[in-house]
Amino acid sequence: MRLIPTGIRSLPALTRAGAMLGVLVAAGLALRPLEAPAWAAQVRQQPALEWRCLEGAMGQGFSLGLLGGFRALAADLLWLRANASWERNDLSGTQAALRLVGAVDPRPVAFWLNGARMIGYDLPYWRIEALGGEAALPATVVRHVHEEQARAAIAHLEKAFAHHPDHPLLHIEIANLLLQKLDDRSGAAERYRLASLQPTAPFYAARVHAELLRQLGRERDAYDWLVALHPTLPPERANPHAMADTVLARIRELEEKLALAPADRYQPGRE
Amino acid sequence: MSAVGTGSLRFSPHRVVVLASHAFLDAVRQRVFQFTTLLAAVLVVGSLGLRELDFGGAELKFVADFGHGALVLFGSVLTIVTTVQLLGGELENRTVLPVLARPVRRSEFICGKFFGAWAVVLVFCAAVTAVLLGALWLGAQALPPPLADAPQVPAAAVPYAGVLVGGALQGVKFGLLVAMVLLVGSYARSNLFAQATGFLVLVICHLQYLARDAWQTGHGWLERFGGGLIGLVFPNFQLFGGEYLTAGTDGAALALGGRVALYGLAYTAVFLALAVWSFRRREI
Amino acid sequence: MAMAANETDPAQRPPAIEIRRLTKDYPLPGGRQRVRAVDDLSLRVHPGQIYGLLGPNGSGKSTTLKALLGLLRPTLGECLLAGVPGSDPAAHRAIGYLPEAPYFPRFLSGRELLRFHAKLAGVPRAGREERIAALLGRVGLAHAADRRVGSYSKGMLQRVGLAQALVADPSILILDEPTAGVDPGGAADIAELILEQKARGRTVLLCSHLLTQIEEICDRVAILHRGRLLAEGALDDLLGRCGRQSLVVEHLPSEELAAFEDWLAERGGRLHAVERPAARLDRYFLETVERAEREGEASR
Repeated sequence: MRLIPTGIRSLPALTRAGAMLGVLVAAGLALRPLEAPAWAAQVRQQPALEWRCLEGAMGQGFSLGLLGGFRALAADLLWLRANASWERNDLSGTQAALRLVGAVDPRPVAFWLNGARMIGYDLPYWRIEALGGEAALPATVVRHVHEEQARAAIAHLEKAFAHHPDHPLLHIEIANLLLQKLDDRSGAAERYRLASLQPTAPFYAARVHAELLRQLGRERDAYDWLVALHPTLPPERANPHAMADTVLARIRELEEKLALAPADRYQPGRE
Repeated sequence: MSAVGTGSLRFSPHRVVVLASHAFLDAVRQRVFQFTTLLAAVLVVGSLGLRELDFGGAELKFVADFGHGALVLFGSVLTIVTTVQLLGGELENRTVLPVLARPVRRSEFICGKFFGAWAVVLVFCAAVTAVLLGALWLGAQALPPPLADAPQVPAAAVPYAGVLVGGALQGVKFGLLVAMVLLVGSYARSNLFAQATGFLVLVICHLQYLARDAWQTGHGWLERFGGGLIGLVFPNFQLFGGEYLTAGTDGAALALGGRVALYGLAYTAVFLALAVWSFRRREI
Repeated sequence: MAMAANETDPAQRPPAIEIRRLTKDYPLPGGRQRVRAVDDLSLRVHPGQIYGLLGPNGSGKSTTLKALLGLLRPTLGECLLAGVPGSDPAAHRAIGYLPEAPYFPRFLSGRELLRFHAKLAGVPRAGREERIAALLGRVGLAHAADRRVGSYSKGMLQRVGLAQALVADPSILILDEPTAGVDPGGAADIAELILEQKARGRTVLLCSHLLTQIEEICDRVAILHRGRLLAEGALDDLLGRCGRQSLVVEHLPSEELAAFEDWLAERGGRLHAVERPAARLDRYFLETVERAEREGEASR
């Protein structure tokens, strides 16, 4: 074997690489009409990533996974992390993970609902425990913590409306927080009303709205609401969940309470 | 006795099938195939344990997401490792010598490797998709029936058809990845280089849309040129993503899926042709 | 008449293998220098010949064979198999090739390996399995036909490699170090198999650095060194032993030797040399092993 000096031998290799690149660029241009509409449809299905919420909160691998199209899986893993923190009563860990879940993949409503329940119903007890326990604290402080967490939970749910406008379960969850933690019947009644306007809202949303109106002393409004509601309900036999007979019974009770004349009373089947 | 005979040797689909069956047999007998398939199946079945986190929802979101994730992640690893082993391993071990000393065109050799490797990955996709469908069905059986407590109750949304479409699209994507890794392997001098480059290509293809965005909305010419080059040279792997799992399988979604499949197959043909061209010049 | 002469004299027929001014350079990393592995090599192998390519390690033997098979691109020159460029896969229809230190897919059995190569070579389905079984039997692997190749010894790999080279009934056999790593008994078997191929009219090109073996079976040899052809020709011509014979006698007194010399001179002959015959270890080894085997069989 002998060693022989060589000229510029790499030129053909460069030419080949250039030709290959040229073919790929041409293929990329030719296939753009296939790619562009499919990608546009894909993007439409994906809410924009909220990088402001994510900055510094995740490792590079996680960010790469997110950018690489594994948002649903990343959100699932974050949800598992939130649950692990929740089981340890780790207040800041749970809150941080829940925020990330929403930022990474805001599409599953269940994440928003269950996250809000953790924030609104569990976290206040951890905070109170950390402050020395309910027995050791003044009632005002305890109430203040509960109210603060309820507002945080409502704020969390409000964010979800950006991705799920007027979702009835979000309205109902807010209504429950207003009712149980903030004693805001009026606000709760309004949320139940908003929920009941959606076709996928459970039947009970409309009934609870009327009941809250009655509790607020607005019997006439409650009566009008139920009278408008009853003809829209399926008969009790067809769907017991709609509870058409119960609604009629409430109407009768309110007619008694409002002392309506027989002629003015609601007659089912008559417009 | 065989003589040289007259006439050139035409491209023979029969020889491609022989080479592909050989490559397929080689790959399925390797531990990497058995290991990744088993691991993916275990992950899918194991995700049934997360049903309690599905809040009783009919979507079985965790099972579907973990199943899809296992399909994509382990499928990518299997595709790259298997393809590199089938081509690079054969070059490194010199088992290629007696094969290419046969009346076999190099294009037939590369096509044989391509179809063999793709068949292996398609078997993986089919197996994991079947396990995922089974897991979803099992999970759905354990769920209470949806309450008809609203004027409009959404139908049970276990995405069986979507999972099938998603599995098929991943199969197309892995075929494209096989062709790309074959192109890398046709000039790579070591398996390590081919595998590392294969994974790098996978990452670039998953992030291709960022380069395309830079091409369309970038500020400096360098950003636009670089973005354009990467955006055109590499296919967009996110098109084959899991959105089809939830997108449903109505006419529009299927048409979109078909368009993406066509995109993948066209790119596969281009990369395979380049791999053949590159391997023709390769010194063994 | 002329045609008849061509048919009987291989040297008059077109060469089975022809290498014309082959030069092969390999670039070194960095691209500034190249290594010349083969330098202006020309060879012709005629049909029915066993042709030995000799040379020390790194002399360019394997590179020459690879260039011949189109596995490497010549830097200069060309290689023809039965008149067709070796780079054309069509030329490989007539070829059986055994690479140096053959390594076959470990997952296949010997039978599966041969079946794969038979299919690639286009051996018709009818009679394929019989041919494979016969070849495996011929190379002494009938007992291991269904064992995975991964469990074969080095010698078994060479044998299955030879069977693989023969599976398509080629007219040209190209064997790269066919006896490397094989024990002397196996090497003798392989040599016998190669001679058998010659008897069947096949052309054999083999390269080896085991001179004894080459000497025993080759008609012609070429000696390569650092990629260059140092010598080429018929073995007898190269060794200058044309027309020479040797007699091995025991206990011949010197006066009898002188008388024998005179007797030869009267008949126009000449005693070229008187020397002690060298005992060859490989022959001794084979004889010892064969004797032990015979005794073993007799005692059974």
